[in-house]
Amino acid sequence: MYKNMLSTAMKITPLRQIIFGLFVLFFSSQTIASPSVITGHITTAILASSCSSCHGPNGVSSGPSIPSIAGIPKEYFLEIMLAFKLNQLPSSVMGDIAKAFSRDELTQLADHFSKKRFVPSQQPFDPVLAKKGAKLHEEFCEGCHEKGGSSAKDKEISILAGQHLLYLRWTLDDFKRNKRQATRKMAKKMRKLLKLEGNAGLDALAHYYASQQP
Amino acid sequence: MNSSRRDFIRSVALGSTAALLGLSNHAYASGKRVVVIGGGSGGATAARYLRLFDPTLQVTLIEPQKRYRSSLMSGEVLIGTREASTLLFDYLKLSQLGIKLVTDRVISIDSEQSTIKTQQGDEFSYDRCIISPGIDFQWSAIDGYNQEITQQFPHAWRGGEQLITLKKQLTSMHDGGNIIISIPKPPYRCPSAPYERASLMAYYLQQHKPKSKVIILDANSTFDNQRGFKKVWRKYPIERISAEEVTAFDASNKRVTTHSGQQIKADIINIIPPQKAGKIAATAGLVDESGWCPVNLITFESHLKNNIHVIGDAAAIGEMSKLASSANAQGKVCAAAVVALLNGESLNPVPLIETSYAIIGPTAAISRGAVFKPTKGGETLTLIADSLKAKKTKRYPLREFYNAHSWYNNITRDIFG
Repeated sequence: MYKNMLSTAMKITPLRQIIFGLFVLFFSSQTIASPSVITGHITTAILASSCSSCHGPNGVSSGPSIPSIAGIPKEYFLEIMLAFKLNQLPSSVMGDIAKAFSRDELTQLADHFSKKRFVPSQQPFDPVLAKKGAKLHEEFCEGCHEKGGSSAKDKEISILAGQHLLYLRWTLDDFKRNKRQATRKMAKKMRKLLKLEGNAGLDALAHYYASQQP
Repeated sequence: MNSSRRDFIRSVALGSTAALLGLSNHAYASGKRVVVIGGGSGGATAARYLRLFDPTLQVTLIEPQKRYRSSLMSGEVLIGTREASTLLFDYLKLSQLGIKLVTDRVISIDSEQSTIKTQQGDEFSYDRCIISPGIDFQWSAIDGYNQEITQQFPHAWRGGEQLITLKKQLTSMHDGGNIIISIPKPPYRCPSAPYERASLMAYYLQQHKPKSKVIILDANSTFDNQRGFKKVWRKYPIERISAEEVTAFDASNKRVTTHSGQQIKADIINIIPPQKAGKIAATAGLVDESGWCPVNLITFESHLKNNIHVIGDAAAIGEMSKLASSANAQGKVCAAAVVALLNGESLNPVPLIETSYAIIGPTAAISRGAVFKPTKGGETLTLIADSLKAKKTKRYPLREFYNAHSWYNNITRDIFG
């Protein structure tokens, strides 16, 4: 969803991205084949461990607001981290911390967390709002955020179902206020939803995603 | 069990954990002994990550207390918006990870023999030792303020009983009474915590004792996140006297004297004393004239003693703040360095991230995140990103508040499992 913005900002063409990806893949496979444990390079394990202080061990956050990053598609991870790096997203400290990591390191992290299991948060929610949210989701969001927002089949979106309620609600607000750039399709759907339901519609959606628990 | 079967089980266990961490599963220094001293944010993290990075290591954690009493979020306990029990953490999960827990106090470390002696008379040998002793206080710095007097005039800078005493003093103070909080020169544990405490106490006074106020006697002229704090202080009964260092304390008259000769009385006097590295660091000869422990900033190995690593508040870490999150970050990097060194390998510079949240009201907080990278030889740390220096378009105190709670919930799991 940040693809256009980033491509322009960083002058990265899809082809160059692919070449870069292969380059990274080559070197990470070299890493695995290397006989040393930690020698000579920072392993992904140490890099990833720096995320767990805020996002929880293995990227599973206890909440109530910092999102879980386990299981999110690597394309989405990379795009959003690069957007943080460029100060294009609201954050408390993520925008600055993101600057510590090179693109290569972010790619390693993206790969690492995409392989972790996403664990839906066991959290309180409003069942009435969640029910209303389910209908709104079906009408406005399911087209891209498939299976009730639990699928991240389109690699540039994240898992919504089971994410922390506050994070969901605030992020919806950021989209509404154009603090986060939506795709044209999403922006259009969002305007329609807001016209129809206002902020209550965003509340309902957030509660619906939060309600999806095992 | 015969040895080949044992090896097989070990390699399977090792393989799965290593795969989990994305590490290759060979070339480990099988069975090497690492002793970690101190079960706070630094030590517990280091012990945990040593076992995660190399499950074949024999890791022993020596800590005098059965449970860790967090100072994080203690401000909320002080004003009654959080249960004190939520600050307690035991070591059960670390023990389940195969770490040997010893509830005892280390009294000496012999770096020549690589042995450690405890108060109860036990002796431990190590191949490498990680020490995370936290802070001690410079008792001679303030005339009239000493360790015994802290029972009536708690600093409450290491949580526990003193925090509860301070809380009782706060709730029982008469309306119209004043509170002095004195802040030392850096480096001290948690740079934003005195300002957090002042904010929360002032908020409490505003709610319960509207004729009272908080007076900050600050040895410093500026402080981190100053603008953010000062913004909320406009609403609170709080007065800060800048660049006034408390040099003397008169307990019987409840009065402090500053270096410029000002004398101020108050009903509650909360002196946060100047600090130095925890006692055992000095006993073990790890401390230099600064009062802190000089270390290599990649491996955290002491510059003064071989095979001993110092992490957390006690380590001299330049511009990096003495924080739970710093100790946590150092614990992981140090664990990786120890695993590497035990295998005769070295570690490249790893970035260190510090994050701190200060609660400034019932549903408001402010934060700081900074990233440091060591120079190639681990001589110094270079600041490479800092949220305080970044151009911020908008602050979200409410979001920061919930992020602060999330951070607390997550970092304590990262430390204690």
